[in-house]
Amino acid sequence: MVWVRTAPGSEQMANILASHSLNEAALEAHVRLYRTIMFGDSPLSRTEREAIAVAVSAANECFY
Amino acid sequence: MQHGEALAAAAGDASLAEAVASGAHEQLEPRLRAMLAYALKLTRTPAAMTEADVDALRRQGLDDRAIVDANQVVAYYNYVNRVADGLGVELEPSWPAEARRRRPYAGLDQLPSIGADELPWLSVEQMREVDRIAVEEAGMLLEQMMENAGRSLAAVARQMLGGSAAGKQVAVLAGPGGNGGGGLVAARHLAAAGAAVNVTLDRPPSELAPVPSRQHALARAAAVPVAHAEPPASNPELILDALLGYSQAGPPREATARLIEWTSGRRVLALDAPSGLELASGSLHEPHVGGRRR
Repeated sequence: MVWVRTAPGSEQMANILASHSLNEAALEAHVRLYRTIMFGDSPLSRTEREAIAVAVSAANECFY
Repeated sequence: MQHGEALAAAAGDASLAEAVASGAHEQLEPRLRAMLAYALKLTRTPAAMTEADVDALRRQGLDDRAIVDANQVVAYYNYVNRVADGLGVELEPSWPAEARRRRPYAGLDQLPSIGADELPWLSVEQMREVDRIAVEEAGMLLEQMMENAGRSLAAVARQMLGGSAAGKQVAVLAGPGGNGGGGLVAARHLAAAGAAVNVTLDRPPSELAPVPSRQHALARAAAVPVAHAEPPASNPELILDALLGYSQAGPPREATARLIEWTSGRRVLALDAPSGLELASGSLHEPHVGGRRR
């Protein structure tokens, strides 16, 4: 699933989060950042935010 | 595409995700288009950002808080993409195999880099005009242009094969138009130089345009084997991509797509634009001809 070990209990997480679960503090901060940026209050609509995400991932040729 | 799904859900419209991912932004409303232009520039050429890029967002009515939020989304997804690529994250098995397949990377950093301003270039429209002037005003024959292109392609192929094509296996993939005609010419010249060449058309020979059709007859007369639709079983040292030319538009389909997929990880020399790269928009479609897989 990933090239590094993952923390026990990370099996239930999305792969992208499990991938860096060895650094628990970074994982928690990541989840908080994700929720804030993509779902928090913003003058940008959900659609606009997801559209930017798709454009960036496509430019990076990354499926995530 | 994971976030294509999220976008389709948020927008209630799957076509928006397709338009955004494929780079067909001209059909989007100006505000979103401006945000995507900012996102793409910041992702591709971060060091080239200037205050003018922020001003372009202001002109679309974004206030400073909205600009900050747009910037955060761009930055966050670049972070997520680096995590995914750097730690080898795969999509969950619940995603279709096609979505989970990692794309072969062309190894762009291995290619010589030439600044955009150091090289004279033509737009697709201007190139069409050059072709039109050559034929209609200068009186050049399409056969001559095709012969020149194909013979030059064969010369480059010989260089890539170490100076001699003798005894080398070469596969030529050819489309129905002028590009494919050039590929058929190159096949004939390489066969004459002693290479074991086979040609695969992406459709039956009966569907070739008139001039490429005559090139097909010449190649057959020179005993070059020509098949169609199915990728060759051989493992050639070099593939010549003459499927799609500079005017290609949209993702390659059907046999064309299968032939392009077959080139993955193999050594390819493209006549004109690599198949799958739409020059008019700069969109790199799936599948496309890349370089050797690293």
